[in-house]
This record gives sequence, structure tokens and C-alpha cells, in this order.
Amino acid sequence: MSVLENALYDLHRLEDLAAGETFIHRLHPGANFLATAVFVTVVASFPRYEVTGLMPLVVYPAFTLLLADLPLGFVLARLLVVSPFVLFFALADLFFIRAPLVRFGPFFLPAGWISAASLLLRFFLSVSAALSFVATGGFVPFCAFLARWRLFRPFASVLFFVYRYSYLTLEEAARLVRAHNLRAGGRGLRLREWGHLIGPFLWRTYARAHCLYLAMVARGFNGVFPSFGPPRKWTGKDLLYVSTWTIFFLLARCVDLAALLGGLVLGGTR
Amino acid sequence: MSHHIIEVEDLKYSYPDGTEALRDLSFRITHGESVALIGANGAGKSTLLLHLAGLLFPQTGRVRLGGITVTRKNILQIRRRVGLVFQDPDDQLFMPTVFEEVAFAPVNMGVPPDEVKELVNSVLEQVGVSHLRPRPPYRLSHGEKRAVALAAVLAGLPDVLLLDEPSAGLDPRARRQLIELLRGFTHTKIVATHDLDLAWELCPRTIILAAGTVAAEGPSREILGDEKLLRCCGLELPLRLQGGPLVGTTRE
Ligand SMILES: Nc1ncnc2c1ncn2[C@@H]1O[C@H](COP(=O)(O)OP(=O)(O)OP(=O)(O)O)[C@@H](O)[C@H]1O
Ligand SMILES: [Mg+2]
Repeated sequence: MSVLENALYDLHRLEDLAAGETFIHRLHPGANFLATAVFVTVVASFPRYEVTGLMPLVVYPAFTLLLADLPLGFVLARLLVVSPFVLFFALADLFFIRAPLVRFGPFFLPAGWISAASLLLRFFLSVSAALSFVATGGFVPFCAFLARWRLFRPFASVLFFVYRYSYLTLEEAARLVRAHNLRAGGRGLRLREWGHLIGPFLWRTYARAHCLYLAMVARGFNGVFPSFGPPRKWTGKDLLYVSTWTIFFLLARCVDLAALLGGLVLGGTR
Repeated sequence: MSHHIIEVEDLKYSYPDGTEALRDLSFRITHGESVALIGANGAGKSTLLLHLAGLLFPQTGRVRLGGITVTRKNILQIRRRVGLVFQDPDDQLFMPTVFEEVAFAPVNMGVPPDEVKELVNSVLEQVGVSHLRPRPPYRLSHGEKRAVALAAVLAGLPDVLLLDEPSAGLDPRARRQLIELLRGFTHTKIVATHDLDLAWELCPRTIILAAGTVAAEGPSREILGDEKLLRCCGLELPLRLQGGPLVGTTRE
């Protein structure tokens, strides 16, 4: 499979996962979204040199991934794919911030190490939470949920189009590359050929996007994203889910849960 | 009743790249009629259907539906009444599941949610693809996609049904089911097709397009039996009229 086909496969896979039937899947899309949003905000708000304080938050992605029956391998692999980007920033910290921050007798840990670790941890926490959000709710129900408020409607439509368009672009690109490879006798794409392909590629994605747009318009689409099914009602479970997590996240942010727990355990054994 | 009469007068359309797709095209289709639109590749069939559905606008001439000229102003009203099944189902399907795909039109038209569900189920049943309901359209076979595309259009409850090569790529049984299904509809139907046997069975009247204009029109039995005319327009007799073993002469 080409890189493109892999990317397409990933998108489809996420949608398949979103069709699951677990407790997490059945949450109100708004509940799932709020919990994830509060989580990411809290994670991002930790100071630069915080590592231990972030640890208890691992519970959230772990909880959703496990309860939603998401394949860990798949999620880890996706995390690795996006990680080079953040690794670069972490490495920069490693090299450029050398002032000592923590001392163990004669040894010391440079501040850069700590901030790099914190950065990586925050990145993995946020991305895994975001992945599990998409893989448990699905993108389109979320758009439909957004579209319930007049204020967010244009936003929901744009999101939907971006999403749909990313599929289409990948599909067209994968098709072109496959058609090329079939007749290229096993030889990869040459630089010069990219030039020849880019024109038809742009034209084809444009033409198909146009056709799809016509198809939507022909079926009564007037710029407002439609919402499917009866509006989901918030149940006690949804509220409980959001409020429990929010309290937990805020606690984790304000109180050093790790130290507290450690203290309790040590205090208990003493 | 006159509200589904389709009139096309001196229609002319060139694509932005200068290709002249339709010229001096005129015809009239009355309420409840089934008309086959045939013609060689590139004759302008799909372009014409896009005009009838109010998705393209004539550069000169006009399209009238039930006495109302199609303009950008009344377009929403027109589109509610006309349903177009595209030639390529990949151009038509965009929602993540078959259910949502079929629900798209009724939801847009403001049908209440519980009725939408009922409507979608009954349309899927009618087209014979209830089992595909939860599947994503992009994972279906070509023929299945076609069935879903048809269901998606029927769910909009159009008065006029435009079909662009509905039988292309269908296996014999699916093709037969399609013909039976379409025969059951009282809609005004226009079927653009290369399947002349389908045209013969389904449509009492045929219009031949050639180079963007009407080359001939009349009762299907006459038009489709006129070998010289068909050959002239780059077509052949329907298989059923070609004689030989294909007709299935029974041995005594
Ligand atoms: N998007 C486009 N841009 C420019 N020219 C186009 C476009 N689409 C179609 N054409 C041209 O318009 C003419 C009519 O095309 P159309 O698709 O209507 O033919 P058709 O009768 O449906 O053919 P087919 O039987 O192959 O489906 C052709 O000459 C075609 O090349
Ligand atoms: Mg065509």
C-alpha cells in the first residue's frame, strides 16, 4: 500500500471504530467533547517543567481507550506517526536549556530534560485523548451536534466539508498514483512526473468536489449542515461523566495528586 | 394535471473550457411520461439532465417545469421536485453511512426525525438494500453504490425522476429488479441510457441526442427499430431486435 492508501485506510478505520457500541460510544457527543476539551485545556495549562503532576492524568486516555475497546496498537502507531514533529521540539529543549533544575547529590538534571519530558507527555496525552474522541464519537455526529446552535452552524459545515474534502483528495491522489504505478513497470514516481500529475490531480479533485457539491445541492442542501435523528437528550449519565472528569482534572491541576497519594501510602505504612 | 410537464426551448450550453455540449435543443415531456434519452458518448445526455435538475443554467433558451421557468430564484423549489441519480455514484455519495446518506434529502427538507427513519427504511426496503443500512457507502460494490444512490434520491420524494445510465454495471438480476422497480413508479421519468433494451421495456417514448441536439424523437418501438437512424447516430439496434441466437429462439 502506498502512503496515501495508508492514510485513507486510517481515516476509514477511525470511522469503523466510531461505529462501536460501548458505554463511551453511547455518550452524548457533547459530553464526550466537553470532557476531552477540558482535559486538553488542563493538560496544556500545566507549567513548563511539570512532569509528576501530569502523571495522574494518564488515567483519562487510558480509561477511554480501554472502555471504548479501541485497539491500543492502532492508537500507538498513529501517535508514533505524528511524534517526529514534537520530538523535534523536545530535542531542541534538550540541547538548548542546560541550566540544572533538579539535584541528586553530585548529579543534576538539566532543565531541558525536564521540559522535554513534560512536552512529550503533554503531547501524548492530548493526542491520544483527541484520537479516542474521534474514534468513539465520529466526526459527523460531532458536526451535527455543533450545528444545533445557530452560532456554530457555519463552523459545523466548514468542518464537514474539510473532512469530506480530505477524503476526496486522498482518494483521487491514491487513484492517480495507483494508475501510474500499474503502467510504470514497478518504477516509482519520478520528480518530473509529479509535475505532470499535479495538474490532473487538482482538476480531478476540483471536478469531483464540484459534482459532490451538486449532488448535495440537488438533495436540498442549502449551506446548513443537517442534523440526523432526533436531538439527543442529555441524560444523568452524561452529566455525571462530564462532571466527574472535570472535577478530577481540576483536582489534578490544583493539587499534587501524585505526592498526595504517595504521602498517603507512605503515611499509612509508617 | 400539468404540474410535471417539462419543456425545453432552444437550450444552449457550453462548458467553461469552450466545449459546446448542447445547442438548439427543444422538446416537451408531459406529466407521468417515461422517456428514454439515448445518444453516443459525449452527445450531451448528462449535461441535459444537469439542466433539468436545476444544477446548470442555460446560456440561452430556457427550461420550464410545470409552466415555471427554472431560474436561480426559484431553484430551491425546483430541486425539491426533481430527483437526479448521477451517472457515477461516487459523485453522489458523501455521508459516512448508508442510513445518513439516504436521510440527507428528507432531513434537509425538514421532515421530522422519526418520520425520516421510517422513510429511509421503507426506501431502502423498496430498492432492496436494507441490509446495507449501517455500512459506509465507500465500502460498497459499484452496483450496491448505485442502488444506494437511487434510494438517496427517492427519499427526497421527487415528482420527476432523472436517471443517468441507471443500469450500467449492474448484474442481470439487479438490472431486472431495477426495471421492475422503475416500472412501478408513476413519476415522470427521463432515463439517459446506452441500454436500449431497458429503454424499450421501460419507456414508451425515445429522444435521440446527437452532438448536443435532438436528432430524432418518437415512440420507442419506431425509433429503436429504425436501424438506419440508430447507425447514423452511432448506435445499434437493441439486442432483442438483432435476431440470431440472442433472441433465444426455442428449439422445437
Ligand atoms: N466538466 C466538463 N468540462 C468541459 N467539457 C465537458 C465537461 N463535461 C462534459 N463535457 C463535454 O460536453 C459534451 C457532452 O458531455 P456529456 O457528459 O453530457 O455527454 P453524455 O451524452 O452524457 O456522454 P456519455 O454517454 O459518455 O455519458 C462532451 O463533449 C464532453 O466532452
Ligand atoms: Mg453521461
